[in-house]
Amino acid sequence: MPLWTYRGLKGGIKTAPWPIAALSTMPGLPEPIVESCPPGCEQCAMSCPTAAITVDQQLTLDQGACVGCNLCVEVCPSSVLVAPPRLARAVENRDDLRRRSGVEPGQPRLHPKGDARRLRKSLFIRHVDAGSCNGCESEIGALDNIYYNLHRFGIFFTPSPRFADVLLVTGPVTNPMYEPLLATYEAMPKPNFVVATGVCAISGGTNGGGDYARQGLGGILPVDLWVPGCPPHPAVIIDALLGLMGRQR
Amino acid sequence: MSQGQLAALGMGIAATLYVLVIAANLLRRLNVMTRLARAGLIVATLVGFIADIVGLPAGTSKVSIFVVGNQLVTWRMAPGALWILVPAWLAVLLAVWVRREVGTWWSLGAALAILGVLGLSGFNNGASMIFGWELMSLGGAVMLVSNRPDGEGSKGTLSMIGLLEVGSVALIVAVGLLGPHLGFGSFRADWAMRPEVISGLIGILFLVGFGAKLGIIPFYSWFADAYGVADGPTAAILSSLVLNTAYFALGRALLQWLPAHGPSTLFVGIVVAAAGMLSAIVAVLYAFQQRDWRRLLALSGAENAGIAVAALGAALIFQSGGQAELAGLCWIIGILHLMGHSLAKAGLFLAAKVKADRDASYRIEQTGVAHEYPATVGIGALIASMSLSAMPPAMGFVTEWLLFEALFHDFVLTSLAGRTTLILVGAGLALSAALSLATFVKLYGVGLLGGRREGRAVLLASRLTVLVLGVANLAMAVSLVFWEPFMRRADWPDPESAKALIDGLLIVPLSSSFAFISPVKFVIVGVLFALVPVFLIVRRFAPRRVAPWSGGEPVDLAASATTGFSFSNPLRTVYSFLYRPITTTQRSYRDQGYVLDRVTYEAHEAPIFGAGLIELLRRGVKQLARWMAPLQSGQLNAYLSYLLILFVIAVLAIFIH
Amino acid sequence: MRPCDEFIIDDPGELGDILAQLAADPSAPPRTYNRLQAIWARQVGDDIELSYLASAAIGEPFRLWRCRVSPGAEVPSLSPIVALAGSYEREVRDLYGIDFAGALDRRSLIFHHAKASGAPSQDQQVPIAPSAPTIVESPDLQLLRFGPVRADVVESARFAFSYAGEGIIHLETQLFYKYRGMEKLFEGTTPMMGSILAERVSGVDSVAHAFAFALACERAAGTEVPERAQQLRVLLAELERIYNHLHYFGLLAKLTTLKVGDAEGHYLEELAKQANASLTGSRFLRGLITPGGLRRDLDVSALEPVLVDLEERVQGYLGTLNGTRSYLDRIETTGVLETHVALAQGATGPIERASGLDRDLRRDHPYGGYDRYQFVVPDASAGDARARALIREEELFASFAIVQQILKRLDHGPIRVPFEAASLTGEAEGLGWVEGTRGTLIYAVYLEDGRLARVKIKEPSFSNWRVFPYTVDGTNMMDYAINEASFGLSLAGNDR
Repeated sequence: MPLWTYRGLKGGIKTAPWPIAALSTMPGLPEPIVESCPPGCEQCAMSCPTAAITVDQQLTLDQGACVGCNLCVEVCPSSVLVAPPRLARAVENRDDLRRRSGVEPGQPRLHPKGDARRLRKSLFIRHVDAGSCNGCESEIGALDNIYYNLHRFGIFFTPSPRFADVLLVTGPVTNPMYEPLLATYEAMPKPNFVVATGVCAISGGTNGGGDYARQGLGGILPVDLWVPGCPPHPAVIIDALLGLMGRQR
Repeated sequence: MSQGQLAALGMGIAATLYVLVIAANLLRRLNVMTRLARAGLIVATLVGFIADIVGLPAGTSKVSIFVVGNQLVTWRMAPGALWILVPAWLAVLLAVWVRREVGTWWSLGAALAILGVLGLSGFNNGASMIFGWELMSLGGAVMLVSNRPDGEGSKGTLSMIGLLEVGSVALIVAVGLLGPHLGFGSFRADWAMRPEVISGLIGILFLVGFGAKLGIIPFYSWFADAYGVADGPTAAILSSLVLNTAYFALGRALLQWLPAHGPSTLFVGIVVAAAGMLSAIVAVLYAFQQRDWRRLLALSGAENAGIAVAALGAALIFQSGGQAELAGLCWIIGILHLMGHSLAKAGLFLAAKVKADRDASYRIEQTGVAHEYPATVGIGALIASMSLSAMPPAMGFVTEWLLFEALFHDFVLTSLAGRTTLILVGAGLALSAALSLATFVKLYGVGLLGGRREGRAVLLASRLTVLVLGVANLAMAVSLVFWEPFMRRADWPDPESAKALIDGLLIVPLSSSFAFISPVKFVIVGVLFALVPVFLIVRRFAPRRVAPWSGGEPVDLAASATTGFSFSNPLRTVYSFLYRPITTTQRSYRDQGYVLDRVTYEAHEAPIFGAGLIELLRRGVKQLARWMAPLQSGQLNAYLSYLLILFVIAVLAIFIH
Repeated sequence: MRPCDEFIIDDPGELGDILAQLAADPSAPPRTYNRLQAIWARQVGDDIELSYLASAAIGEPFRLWRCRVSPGAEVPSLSPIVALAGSYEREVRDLYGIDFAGALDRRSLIFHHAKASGAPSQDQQVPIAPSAPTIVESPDLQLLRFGPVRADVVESARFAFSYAGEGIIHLETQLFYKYRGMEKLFEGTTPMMGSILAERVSGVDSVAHAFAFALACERAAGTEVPERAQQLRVLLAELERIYNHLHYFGLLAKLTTLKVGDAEGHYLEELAKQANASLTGSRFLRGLITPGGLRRDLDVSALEPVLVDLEERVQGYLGTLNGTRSYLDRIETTGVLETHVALAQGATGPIERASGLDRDLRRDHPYGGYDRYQFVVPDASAGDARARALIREEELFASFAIVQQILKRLDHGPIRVPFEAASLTGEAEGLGWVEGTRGTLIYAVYLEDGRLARVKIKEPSFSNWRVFPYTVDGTNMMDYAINEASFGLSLAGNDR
């Protein structure tokens, strides 16, 4: 019988110190950087698979609909769009995800809501898969591994909504999952919070729309946090949850 | 008129009414006869109940019936019989009142059985006693068969009669061995005259005889089968009045007739105690696995009878050691135990009737009966379940506690065998008590609770009887401190040396320095404690009611409810060497073995006594029948020739003698 | 080599006779490929065209039978002859309204959540057929409906267990809670955008899907992809296999309560994902494969030492795991899948290889240059969770070996040829297949004037989820989670 305990001790501590470097080194979602584009050019808008880009007076890229495929970056003739070397982080207002050319890309700090301050030390999350592609589940599942180690922040996943504080939803909300999602929300005690994780939950992404799925949580549940990314990096999810608790760094 | 004479008169009136009921049943041509029969039955039982109470505490007066040979056959019910039957009369009264179906032979059976009870407990003569015994069995059989006009109940009834007849044979042999005098008065002397071995054998024969009705191992096998075809009221009568009478008769035989301090007393006592304990354990193990209300309660009745028989055995052991007070104590405990048991068991059988009326099935399943009738069935069945699983403050707790305390007195004995037996009996009874708790948690939890399902309406009368019997059980426990001193006359074998079980408001086993409990105080303190959560329920926040959550889809309470089988399954697996469980899963497919159409799943335990003793007897009897088959040729000439041969033998016998 | 032999069937009534040759033959040798792969339909004008795709012998082209029927027509069902056809026919019925006469299971596959009254909801095209599901009769059994929102961070599906204490008597799976209609979302998009969509059909099989999709489009257009692009695609596919298999070892260790094993397994998966990120910028290797090659070049110079280190760690980890008696006890004889069931019900990937069916598209129908690499295709025959774990273990080391071979002789050339979809006029069709982590993945692509008109995805999880209940009936609750983890399936892939 091999000594797993000895093996574990020999392996040492693998938990990455927080904040994790990836937050500010990995390439994130594209943003417009110059003041204006050549007039009449809509190459980026036409190449976007989720129609995240609108070209009006200014170029607006909705990071809440951007899956990070970078097709727009590829087809843009004037290098207007660039993927910056930092990951896109969660926001409280949906509109804060819309990056506009000529507007300084800020990263508003997350403020905990009144009741959320009581959750400063510990948070329990109920995750619901409302029709995702499984990429978000893979990243959310990675939160419990020893590298990200979600437990050190006092954050745990629960099997039942009855003692959960946060409802973490992935996926665009397919028709069969609509009622179960609402039932799960109803089953949570107050105060509770809803986090839309991933582009599908924010705006439908590539999976939503069509006859069989809606376009994210907008209009279905009151959302407290929007976490962009397809899928969002585990560090971004941790940052979002800490922001909810008022412990963002 | 003295109390005793009044009581005897009352019993006489009741007996006459029962005979009239029997007559009315036989004159069925007139439609009104069956209704009259039912009314007569109710009135007769009421009269009997009142007469029983009136006759306490001294017993009825003696009534001379007739002369047989040169012996006077008299009838008198001893105080012990009156005490043990008081609650049984109440149970029977409620049972016959609740049973509304007319037009069957049921009232005939009930009247026969109760007449048998009166006979068995009252007659002073061995032959008459056995006559009463047979009447009881016949009455029970008629009641069972009358439930199913299509003959469906015949197998269970036959198995019951078969085993009861084994008991009858044992009784006849025992009475015969006791000597030429059939009168009870000389039984003790006759017994003392016999050599030791015969003496011990007589004791065992009485145990076998009366034990057949009490469900002593191995006779409890008919309990489940027979009760399984009965309805609630029938089973209530069988498990209260009939069971208690059988126990009283066994106690009378072993305590009054068996010579005290004889060497055989210790031997018989050990066998009786061990038999009682073993039947309690095995019966409750099987009871726990049952999935039918009636079968579970029947085997639980066998368990409680076993406990009372174990108490009787302890009384004999103490008696052989010269401890008359402790012997008397154990006998009183046995009586009290079956008094409480009759109320609780009848209450639960009538609750089974409520369930059957509502759901058309006696299966133990979660249909929310107690949620629909919380005030009557909910409370009544709860107290009854608590009593049968020895939970305070019900009567069953009081008697089991007293029995354990009595067993703990084993240190006064000098005989090692006696002490060891008492200790082992105590251990065995502890095991059976634990199992009976599990059994009644199952019965109440799976049988009465659960999500409410629609069912037929049940009459208020049926539900009320459950509450009445439950409350009576609790009242008996609480009021015991007040009326126990009156029981002293029933204290066998030596009423003079009987000591009270009471010290103020406490119940004590002979002395309060040894141990004590107080059901009165339990009830008072219990109510006070219950007030605490009531105050806590008044909350600061208004609760928000939401539907139950199950993965986001609506909950199907009926499909996911705990079944009787799944509750008992773990024990079934652990004790598989005893139960020899058989599970069959059948799958039928729409094609060559992939698309599943239907799955059926059945779980059984091997029959309680399939192999072993009964099988041997069965084979022996069959073999004998095969040998005798040629005699039954069916030809008239052959039978006439038998008569001729017998006539010749008789003539020769007369002339040669 | 021709990818596909095509046959046209004029009379639907002859379907049964013509396709009876696809019936599973248990006596066939383990490497036989004579098997139905998929059935699908597509709208052609007013008619509906049914396609039946089957694989033939090793190295032989696939076979495709097509049959044109009018809407609402009755077509004889193949399911009495070929058991695995049942699921495909139910899907075609739900989406296209074609009734299959003689089908053994007529329930709706996708639209189970519609009202039981049978009236069509806004989703479904046909009312639910009045065919009963399996009836479980017993007053002794309980029914546990688990889902669709399940405990822990897992995908949504519903499982109804009829159980007695520990023993599971019957399991009824109810999937398609995540049906997003992905195949329909492809319609009208360009192939370049289509590859973005394909990556997100099943998020942890992004490379496999994009690869199969790209191969299908390239076959449709007759494009030849340059050498470096082919090699890099194979590299990405094997990197994906590595992190997926490590995930399932971590999961198995977790379910057999080896805490350190669980931690180490998932840590190794994290290392693999971080290697992916440092190579491509995406932890799931997304945004690279496109019809015509790769969208941008990759710098593989830093990859080799990382992978050598990872392989060494994996060897130590799996060696320790295989020496842990408690772990082996839990997975041996758990969830046994018999060979004839695997064959008849269409198991694919590590699951079929663990049940004695020795098939692997990389070796037997090479694509993307796989015929140039040496690798072991493991096989076992016990069919239990241990066998599936063994297969995964050997596939892991085979993947490491393939990656090493690629890194040693990586071509220096272009990574993309222009795939001018807009210049394609008229209709074009292409078939692309890939041996993904979970088994055979096939894309059938129909292009019209350079845009996608119909895409059919035959997902390995779809085939394997059909097989899964056969390993559960008659087993016990304690083994269920381990069994499900040993299958390692994706619900997003199944539901699409």
